[in-house]
Amino acid sequence: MSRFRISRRTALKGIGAAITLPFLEQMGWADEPKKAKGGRLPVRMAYIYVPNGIVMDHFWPANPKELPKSLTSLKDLIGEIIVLRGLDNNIANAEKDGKGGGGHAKPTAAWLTSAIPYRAGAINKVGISVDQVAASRIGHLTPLQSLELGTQGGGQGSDCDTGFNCSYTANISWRSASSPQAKETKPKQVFERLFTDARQGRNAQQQAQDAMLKTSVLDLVMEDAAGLKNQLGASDQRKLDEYLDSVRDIEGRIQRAGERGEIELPPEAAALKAQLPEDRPEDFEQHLRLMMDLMVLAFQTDSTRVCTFMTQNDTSGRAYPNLGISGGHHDLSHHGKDAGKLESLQKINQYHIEQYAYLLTKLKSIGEGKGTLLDNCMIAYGTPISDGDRHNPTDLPILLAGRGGGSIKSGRPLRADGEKLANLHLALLQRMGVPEKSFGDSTKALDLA
Amino acid sequence: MHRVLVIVLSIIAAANAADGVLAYASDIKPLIDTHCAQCHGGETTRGGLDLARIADDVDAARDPHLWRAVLIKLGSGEMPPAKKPQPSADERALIARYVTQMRARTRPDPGRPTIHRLNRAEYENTVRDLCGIDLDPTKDFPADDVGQGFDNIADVLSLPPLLVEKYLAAADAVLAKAITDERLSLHVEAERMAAVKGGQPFEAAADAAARTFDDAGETWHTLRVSADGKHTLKVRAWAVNGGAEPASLMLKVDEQPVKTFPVKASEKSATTLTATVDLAPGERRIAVAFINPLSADEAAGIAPTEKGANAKKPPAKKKPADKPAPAPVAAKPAKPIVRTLSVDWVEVLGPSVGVAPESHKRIMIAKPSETVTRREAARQVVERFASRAWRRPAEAADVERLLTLVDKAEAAGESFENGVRLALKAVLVSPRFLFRIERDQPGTGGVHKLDDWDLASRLSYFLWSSMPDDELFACASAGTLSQPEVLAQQVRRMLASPKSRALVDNFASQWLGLRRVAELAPDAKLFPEYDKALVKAMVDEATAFVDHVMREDRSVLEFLDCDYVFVNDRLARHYGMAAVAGAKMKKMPASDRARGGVLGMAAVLASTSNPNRTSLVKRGKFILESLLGDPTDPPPPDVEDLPEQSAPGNEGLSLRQILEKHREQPDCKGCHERLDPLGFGLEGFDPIGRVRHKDGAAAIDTAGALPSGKAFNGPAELKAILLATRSGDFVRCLAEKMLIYALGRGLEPTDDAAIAALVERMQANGNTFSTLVQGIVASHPFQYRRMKDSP
Repeated sequence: MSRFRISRRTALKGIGAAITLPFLEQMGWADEPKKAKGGRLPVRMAYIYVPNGIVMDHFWPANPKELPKSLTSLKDLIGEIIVLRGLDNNIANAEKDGKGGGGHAKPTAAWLTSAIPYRAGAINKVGISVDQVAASRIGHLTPLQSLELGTQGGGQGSDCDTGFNCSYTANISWRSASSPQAKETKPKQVFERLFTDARQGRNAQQQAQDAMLKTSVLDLVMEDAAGLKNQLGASDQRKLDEYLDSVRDIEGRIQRAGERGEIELPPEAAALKAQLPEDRPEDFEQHLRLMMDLMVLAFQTDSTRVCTFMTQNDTSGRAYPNLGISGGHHDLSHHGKDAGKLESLQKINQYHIEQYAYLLTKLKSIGEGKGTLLDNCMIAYGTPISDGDRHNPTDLPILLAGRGGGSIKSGRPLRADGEKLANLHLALLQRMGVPEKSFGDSTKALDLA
Repeated sequence: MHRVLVIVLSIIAAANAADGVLAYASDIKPLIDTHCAQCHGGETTRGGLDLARIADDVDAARDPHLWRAVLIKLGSGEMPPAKKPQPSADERALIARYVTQMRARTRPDPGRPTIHRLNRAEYENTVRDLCGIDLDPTKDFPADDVGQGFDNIADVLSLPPLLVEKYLAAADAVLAKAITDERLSLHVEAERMAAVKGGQPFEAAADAAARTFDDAGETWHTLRVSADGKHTLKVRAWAVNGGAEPASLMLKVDEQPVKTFPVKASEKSATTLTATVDLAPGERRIAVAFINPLSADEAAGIAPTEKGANAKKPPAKKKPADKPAPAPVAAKPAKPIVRTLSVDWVEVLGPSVGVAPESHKRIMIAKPSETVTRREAARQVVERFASRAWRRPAEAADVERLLTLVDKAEAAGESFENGVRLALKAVLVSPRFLFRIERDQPGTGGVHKLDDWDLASRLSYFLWSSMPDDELFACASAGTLSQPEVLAQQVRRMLASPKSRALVDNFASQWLGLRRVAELAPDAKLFPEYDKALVKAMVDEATAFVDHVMREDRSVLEFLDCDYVFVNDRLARHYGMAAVAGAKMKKMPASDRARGGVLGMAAVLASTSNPNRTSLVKRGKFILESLLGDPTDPPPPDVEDLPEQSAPGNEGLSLRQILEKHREQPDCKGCHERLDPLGFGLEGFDPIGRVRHKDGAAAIDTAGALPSGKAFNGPAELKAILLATRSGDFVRCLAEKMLIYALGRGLEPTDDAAIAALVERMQANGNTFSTLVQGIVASHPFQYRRMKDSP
């Protein structure tokens, strides 16, 4: 393990104020999964979620020579992107309980899980999400197994969608079938989370001592939990296992941070840190962009390779007065084919995609290996229902940016009519170095090459 | 269990046929066949309900929850529909009596709440009461998962790694604030400190016992200083002095020289150097530097050498850690000249702090002294803290394990306070603190009464969203808490305490959807006056109102309707009432009887609206679901949405006409017939809760009807008719919601008997708020629990 620390520190000595992080170029491969060939850079995966569907007419290129209106901001990036439609996620509606509802909750819960979201009273029951499968397999290679981001906290209400728990509409990442992976919505907290156990300016012994004491506390409470087991029933046990799992996760993180040795952040990280407000930024766009900056920083410093991002929770009623439109997003998405509502909705779609373009531009501006950071990423952007008025989890609009380390042929539209959404998840999973044969209800890996 | 039930039932049936015990087949089935089965049986099963298949008591008992619905529909007059022949009052009473008897025959099952993670409010309050500090360590916690309408449902509350991280950080923050370092007393071994030598990082070897410099360099430690004032720095050091002068040791604070000492002592007679220095609170870097390494001239032996000094060999066992001293180029091989400085340890002693804060006194109940060892003092502190934090006496073995952390911290050179902090941190991230874990009591036959410690916790988390206080603990310790009169007295005391505000903030605010108000985003063009001050006033009105009903022990029916409102200056203007001075909520008579009760509150009216228009459906749904506990089913999948007024074919139609058109579709009819007419009653309020007489240019239509068909016009009549015909349903609904909240679990059909008893108790006692709370505390599901392995 020390090979990592020493070699990386040595590499850092000579960097100074370089914008890129050459240490990744030289050493990133050293902690790659064993099967990777020498010299290969780590692949990163992210899912960017937007709520309430997307107007397909302005998303899908009817004329191959012309960029659809909602994608205008991707003009200079389109060569890096696959514009994808046709994937279905029908498993979202597979529960046959004879009851209706869940038009939002079910597709959102099923978006990255490709599992059946059950109504199931007080208990969440869906499935583990694709990002968490990746995190559980390659997460040990980075300080953070995965990073979950969003702009809106958990749902504050009983019933976020016709009797479905708010967990279903406020999370896309699921650590297990019953445990959503909570997301962080405050930029400052994200920064601290990324680098809190990292060695910045402290000496190795001090860091080691801090880590030792911290780990002793965690060891002790895990012992405590083990001692409680015999008096617990099955549902209690599930909760305690969740606890143990989380404590172990943190223990691993402390250990990995120690192994990582001294890290030096890219110069713009200091500038970013300085502008992070204590709380959620009032300005929505600033909030989105800070979160995206942090995602870039996390990937750039190889602090994690797996990220999910929720642009608002499902059924978000956010108003967008800055776009000159009135009405809340969710309300507008029930357009009833009303031309005015559709026009407003399209503006929101376009605005969200502009933020995606900001993220991609940033990833592209950072060199890594012989190419860019974006080349080694797979950034999927989409929404769990196609038409917000119909709640259909079919013919899903998706943008996939980045080349996944050279394994994806980008810069094209792709119609995958009738294929399952899980096929895309599987295809990305395999590129993360997780050689699964199936995921959710997948039938095969979607061909992206 | 079923077989037992059958036997029990047949015995009861045989023995009691005479004294009023009803049998389904002979007493109830004929009524059902006459009045219900036409639509709900055999060929037609409206709403998926088939009552004809129920032939006898066993069938009837199979779906106990069905009878809850039957009683509601029957009692409200919704069923049988008005145009059908109606059962007589006696017949209705007969069915109700049958259900009561059926419930009484069911084996009582108090349920088994899952171990219960503290939610944000509970965590914050518990830490406040445990440590006596005012700090919100939960502001960066992720939102709690919500189920069944509340964020304290044990099955739903999850514990992702993110939250455990926050718990660790919160424990640090809380303990840093709660405990002050009475006197900084730090001892650090130099080999554990950071160091540089000759401009390079200087790592000590694992077995080094000191740090020996053979080249210029320094070793340092960064510490947190909390008290302002004179600190004493001590350094134990020795030297090997070759060359012209003794080794020179410089003490520095934050890179600034404090004092320089010549070190003449050898290892055997190592000296302790002392300096007094003013240190300001905050992070301070204390460094010890070796500033006069051997020069090249000295090493070459050009300067005269002192025989005595040079005769001494460098200490063999205290070798510099990483490599031997570099051989001077021109040194004589026989007698190399060296000058090294060895640093053994550094100590920092702070000034005494004046008065320790209350939290410190509460936690640090013992301190090391001549008669009390450090470990014994730590034991007393840890035992007391853990017992309170874990809400039952900590066992000796657990305390002992916690003390190993104190030992470890001390071995690492941490202060007494820091050692204790580490152990208390483990207490605060232990599952015993983060979860409420109730104890099984083996040998009690499956269902058992809670012991007093668990009862104390249920009580305090229900009424205070916090841990039990000393008085509750004392009752639990004395074993008297479960005595009914003691329990009732404690409930009275707890309701009277300011801490019962938690019931308003956590129960009522979720019941009425107040937490969502802050997230509403009414269309700014249509409602430019909607701002933060208004939002605050809207929420404050609702909480002030609930608080009033609770503190004055009013009838809970005032939630449905009353003749007063709480307003401040802003809200009075919003409501078009006579001016009220100040931002504080004041109780005023409701001159306009549209107001008074929750249905006239802007907070409720706004959160049941869309950003640019009112929603009949949402408002109807609120009444059915949150006030009457009689919700409709969600819309079927792929249902067509309500068409807009602008949509083709709808031109010139009023909202009512469009809805009526919509209701023609059989899929929509059943539910919208119940929802929409209720919503119409509130159409006189706009999307932000103001009274309105027009919607745009159109006149407002406020004619509505209850599901039973009873007609009304406008909010005042709606409230009056609810009060007159549905007050029992309202009380039941409120009791159900509060029981869910009190238990932290969803209700089961087995809870229906407890709910029915509660409603009866309410009616007998003027429906007062305290009767509701006392009734819940006295109920079987609150006082009992099921063991893990019992069915």
